Amino acid sequence: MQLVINSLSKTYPNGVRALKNVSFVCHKGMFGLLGPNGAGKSTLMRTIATLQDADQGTISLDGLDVLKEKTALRRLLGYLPQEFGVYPRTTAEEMLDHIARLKGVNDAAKRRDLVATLLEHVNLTRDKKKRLGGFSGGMKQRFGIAQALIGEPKLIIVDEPTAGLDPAERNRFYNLLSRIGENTIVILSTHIVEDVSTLCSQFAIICDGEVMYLGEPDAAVMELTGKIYTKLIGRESLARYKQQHRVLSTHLKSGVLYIRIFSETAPGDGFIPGQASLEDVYFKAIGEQVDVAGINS
Amino acid sequence: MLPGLTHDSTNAIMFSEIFRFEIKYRLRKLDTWLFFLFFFLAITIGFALSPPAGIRNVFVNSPAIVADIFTGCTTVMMLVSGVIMSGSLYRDIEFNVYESYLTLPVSRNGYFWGRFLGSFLFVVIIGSSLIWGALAGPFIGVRLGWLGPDMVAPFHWVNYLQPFFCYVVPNLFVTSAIFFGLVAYVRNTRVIYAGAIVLFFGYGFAQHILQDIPNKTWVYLIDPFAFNSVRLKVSFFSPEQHKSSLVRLEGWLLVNRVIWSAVGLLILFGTWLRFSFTRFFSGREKRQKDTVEAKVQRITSESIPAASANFDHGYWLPVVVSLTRTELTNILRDNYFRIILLAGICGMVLSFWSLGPIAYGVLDAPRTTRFLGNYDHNFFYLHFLIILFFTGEALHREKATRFAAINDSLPPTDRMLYGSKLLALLMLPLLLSLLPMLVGVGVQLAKGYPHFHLSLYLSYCLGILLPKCLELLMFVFAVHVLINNKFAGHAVALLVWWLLWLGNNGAVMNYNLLLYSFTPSYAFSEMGGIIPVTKPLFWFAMYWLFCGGLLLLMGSLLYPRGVMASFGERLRLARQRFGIRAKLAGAVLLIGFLATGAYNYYEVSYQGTYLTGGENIRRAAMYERQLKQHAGDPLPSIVNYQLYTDIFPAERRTATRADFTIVNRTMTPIHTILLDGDELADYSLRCNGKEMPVTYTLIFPRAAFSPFKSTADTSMYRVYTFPRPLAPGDTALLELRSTKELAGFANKWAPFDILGNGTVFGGGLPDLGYDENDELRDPQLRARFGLPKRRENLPPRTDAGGIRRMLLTNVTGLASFEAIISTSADQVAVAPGRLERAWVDNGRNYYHYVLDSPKNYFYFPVISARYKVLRDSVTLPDGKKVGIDIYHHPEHEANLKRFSDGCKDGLRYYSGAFGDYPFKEVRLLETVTGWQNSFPTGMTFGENNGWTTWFTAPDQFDFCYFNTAFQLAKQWWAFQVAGNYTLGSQEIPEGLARYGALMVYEKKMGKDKVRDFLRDEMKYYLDRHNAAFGNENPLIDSKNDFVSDTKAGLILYGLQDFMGEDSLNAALKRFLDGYAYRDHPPYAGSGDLLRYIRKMVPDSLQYYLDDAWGRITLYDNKVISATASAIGGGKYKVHLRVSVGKRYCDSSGREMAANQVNDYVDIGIFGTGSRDKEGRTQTNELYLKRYRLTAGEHELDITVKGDPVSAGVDPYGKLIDRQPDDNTINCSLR
Repeated sequence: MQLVINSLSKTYPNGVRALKNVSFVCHKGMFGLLGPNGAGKSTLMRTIATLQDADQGTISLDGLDVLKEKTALRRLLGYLPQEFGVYPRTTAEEMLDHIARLKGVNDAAKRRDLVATLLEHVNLTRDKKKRLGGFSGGMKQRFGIAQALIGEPKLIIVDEPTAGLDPAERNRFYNLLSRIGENTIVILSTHIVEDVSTLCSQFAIICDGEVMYLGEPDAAVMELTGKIYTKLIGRESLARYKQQHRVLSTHLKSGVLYIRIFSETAPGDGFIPGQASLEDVYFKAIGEQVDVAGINS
Repeated sequence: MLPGLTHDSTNAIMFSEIFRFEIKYRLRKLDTWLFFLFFFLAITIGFALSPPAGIRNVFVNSPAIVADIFTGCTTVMMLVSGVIMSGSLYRDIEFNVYESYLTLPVSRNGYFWGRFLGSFLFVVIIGSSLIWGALAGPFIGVRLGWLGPDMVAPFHWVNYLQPFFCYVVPNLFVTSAIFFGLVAYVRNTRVIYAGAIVLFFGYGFAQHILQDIPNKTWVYLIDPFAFNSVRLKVSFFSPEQHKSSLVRLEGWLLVNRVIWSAVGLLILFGTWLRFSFTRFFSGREKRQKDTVEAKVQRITSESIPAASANFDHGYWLPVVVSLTRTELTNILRDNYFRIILLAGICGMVLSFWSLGPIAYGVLDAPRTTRFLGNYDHNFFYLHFLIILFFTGEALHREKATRFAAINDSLPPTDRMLYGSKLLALLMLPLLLSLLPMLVGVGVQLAKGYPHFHLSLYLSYCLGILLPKCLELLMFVFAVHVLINNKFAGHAVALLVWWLLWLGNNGAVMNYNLLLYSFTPSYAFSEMGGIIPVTKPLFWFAMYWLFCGGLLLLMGSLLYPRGVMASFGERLRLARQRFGIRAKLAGAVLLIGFLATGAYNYYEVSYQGTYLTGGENIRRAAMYERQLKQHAGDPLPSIVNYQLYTDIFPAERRTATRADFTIVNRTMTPIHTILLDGDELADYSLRCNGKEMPVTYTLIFPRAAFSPFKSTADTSMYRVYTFPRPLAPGDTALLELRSTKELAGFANKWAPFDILGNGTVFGGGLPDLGYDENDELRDPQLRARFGLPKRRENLPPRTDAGGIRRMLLTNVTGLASFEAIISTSADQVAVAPGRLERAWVDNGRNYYHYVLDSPKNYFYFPVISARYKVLRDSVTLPDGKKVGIDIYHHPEHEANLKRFSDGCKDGLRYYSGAFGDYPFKEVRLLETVTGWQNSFPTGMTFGENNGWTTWFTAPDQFDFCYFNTAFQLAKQWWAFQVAGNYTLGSQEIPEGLARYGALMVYEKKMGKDKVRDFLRDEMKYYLDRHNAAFGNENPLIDSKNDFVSDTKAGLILYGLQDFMGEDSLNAALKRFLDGYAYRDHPPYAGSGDLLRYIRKMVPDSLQYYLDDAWGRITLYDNKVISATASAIGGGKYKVHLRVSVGKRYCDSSGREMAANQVNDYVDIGIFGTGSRDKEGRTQTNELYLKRYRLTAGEHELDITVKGDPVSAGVDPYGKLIDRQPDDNTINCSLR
């Protein structure tokens, strides 16, 4: 089972190039999509979720042409958009039942069972008779998760799914997702690097519509191991360090500035070796496109 | 940070910043300018196009008219102030910028007043579009020749600024304050929609009630827009004031303005006091946050039960059902839907419940036809608004709630999503179409009226309303899909609808085949159902439904799903979706549309003829140019007329053969006759057994919409040539054959004469001779076509030609009449004369009527309907028995006795006073159309005229009885004496008949009841007199109905009181004897009548005749004070101060005081009234004496026995008085 994205490009009418020749392959398990705001993640996910057309390129899921056979893909899809709303005047239970029907769960008893379990999973059982218009942001997000899991989807796309969730809920959700990911492809878009490192078997870093990095989190960290150095410097000298070194990130704390740099060899100059992390991979990848080490931005 | 906001903390600075920001914001908004443009154009066009119909001598933009239009427009502008004022606050909530406001040092006062005043300024600016429109309209109208330069008032700024600042600005302020307050309070804009609709309807409904309020002070006060107040004030204007006076703020009108401005201020300050940022931005109650929810860590390994998806054939149906149900839930659970629907239903219930009286203030039964007529006219646009609003809501629901992101990625196909939306919305037309029936039957049941016509309800609701609502839904649906923006969609749909409506209502181009959803016109009738024809309604409904289907198909192709970056992307998608099924559906719909369209076109413009407004005008001009030469042609007289006509009501067809014996009574030979067969399908004429050669004298150019017809449209005007000229004194036998049937579909109104039930027609004869009434009337149009100035009215009294012609018909002289009429088996046919024989042949009913002794003037209508007949009779004092037959709709039995009593009492009185009734029968028939009419031996009353009226109190004016007596009197004053064709002669049939009816009524009900009725009559006369602005002649030359009918009745009734009933009746009888059944000119004119009366009037009263007939005279009598003091023995001395005045009006409406007044005036003093045994109130007359008084004040001391309650000058209203209400006042006791 694999999802193949092949040289996908999209330019909006206002000239913004949201996707530039994006290609990668996802297998069973969780695939993380990292990138700053406006990198094109949501465009990419919407395109995979059949909500948007690409200008060029193809997407195929086990040979299914996603861009052409939208209905076929929709039957296999579980999608949690980054931003979504609900009908304010229906209840959570009614709405899940409705969506289950649309997702082809025809058997009434099975549907009832499914909706009850899902509500339990996302901790909304108590609120199932409440109208969705009265839901808070977190409750709504949990409702969104529940609906994405209906119908045994083969492809699950979740865009910034943990926004609005507290740490415990987030944890619970990730556990659930991991378990589901054993049999399906899950694409997780996030800007929390840590999520990717703990959950995903594969990931991609996207910036300005381009894939900057593609690989496995552990391997990526391994690549940088021994090449990360840190130093405590004065704020005024940052510009000089930026000229001389590949500064990955800066961290201002109590008036002093820690900087992390990438270097193939030991730079000296008071730098000490640091423990490489996926964050370093991320900053190194997107640093070529955006200034991530500034302190004024 | 928000643009335009600085961190100054003083109120003044904050205010000016917010104010300035608001102005910048508004200037950039498109809707501001669209609103402005809309009102500007509407007012401009309104002023440029429509001079107030029938009113002369008044400028189209006189200050009073400007004030009237301005106040009327503010009731619509209410909606604008709603949109703008609600947006001014709500957009901060909508765009989520409120957090910035909570953290910025913005002052509450600065924010509140800055926003209010900034927005209100724009409401006022939009309001000023009225001024510019009122300025531009007349200017453009004159430039384009639509208005004469003399119709436009000289320009003064004050004429526009005064109404603007006195009426427009305060009105806008009140509504702005209300809507601003509403949004500040409920934090929701949809309440504005609901509020505006409720207010709009509430106001419309209140208007309805206002008209019935007797206490006019309330009318002045309770109208927030002062619309009715201004109208009321203007109604007291003299013609001079109408022309140039401002409607000044004074008296109660000023109080109105003060009250409502104060209400606006109160609302505004109340809102301000309550307003707080935190409450406004955070809502009334804090929403529960989910931060404190108990978190129970559950074992996540618990598996989600297997519920595999199944998309086989069983998938789509339950899914469509579920989608539809969800959509319906969304609509039905919407509180605003409930509110608007409830408001609509309440409006309907109220409006049906309180449907006012049709005539004389007596309520009518809650009849289905009246309700449906009212409903169709007043509530249909509510349907459109509801359909528009909720279609917009439904189609944009996913986008608005942002559920689209999930919904659009779900498995249902586009067609399923689109189709289920449509299915759910189809409920709206269904619900709305059944609403009138539910409401109507409910009200009828509640009022205890059993005759609800379910079949009529169903055929209207399902046959007319449902297709219309469906068509609207399809249209609105397609527009919203296409535009894909809620507000723009609403705006476009409204605009298109408005244009269609304008097209349909305008006279320029109202071709229904081009105006989506419009059909030929229809009306409702108790007897006839939906009239005149229903077939075109069906075929037009099919046509537009097919068209709507095409719109829906287009919508389904363009239906957006997911993120649509551009319209090009949607087009690409549409091409993908345009697959074999869509193509097939499209082909079927297109074929259906074209086929029904072709059929309708064939019926409207090939079988029938549609003429544009311009074509109608050009044809009228051609008619006059080419046929006017025949205007003076000598016409033969008809001495014998035999009619054989077969009526086929179900087929709407008649076939006629008629034999005429004609004679040339003129001094010149008659070579030809001009006939107009416009209302016939075809006709032919033979003379003495030989076909008469025919010339088609008038050939119209082909109608623009009928390019497939022959280029020359042969009109039905024909000139027939006698084989041998008919020499003076010669006789000939003419034989006419004609058929009548519907010629295709009419674009608007098909003819009403041959109906399925309720046919009234002239027997199928063409009109004889040139008809001046078919000429163009508008002087400006006439000038454009080079036609000479036209005499607007009848010829003057002395016109030799006019005296030789009759008013009733242009066939001069008397004829004997005989008719054999057949009709369908279920109907009865009636014609003038005695029924000689009735029989059944070949499944049809045949009737033979004869009217030969005496012979009659040529007016012989034929009637056929499904009647029930009430047979009654009366024996007159001389022993003659007259049969009274009342032919009525079987359901309409409530008031039959009133009609027959009117006949009986009338026959008794008239035959005693004016001479024998010449026939042995009177027939009274109910008809579908028309108000009332009469013919020799009978009369007709329209189904709205009294048959179903609910008489509940004995004091109510029994107009069934009165009208019967009135129509009956025409057996003497129209069918024995023929008025001639000159000014004033209308008084003979109408005025004398009215006088007779008043006398019959007095004998039965007493003087009191006549007085009450006369007071209403006088008010009616005064209203029309005021509205005529001098376009009124004295009675002897009367050209207006309200003079020759209403005023003549008042004057003759007053005269009999002054000179004595017997004496006047004797004069009238002599007049009748002098002119009855005159077979040759001269015919009677109003001067002849006056001559006969004058002979019987004493010298002392001659002034009354001069005032009444020769001039327009208005008395101005009133009681200034009446004080009574007891003088013992149950006696009182009453001291009266009265004022007497008399004024004459000239032809421009100016009034002048009469020079010498020494007139008879009654003075009366009255005690407490009582009731007679039938429950009617009776006046207790303590004193009534006739005085001769000069103009000015008079003091009188009168002793009476009994407690004086009121005193009056001319208390019975026998003199026409400018202010009849001040003639009587209550006595004060000292």
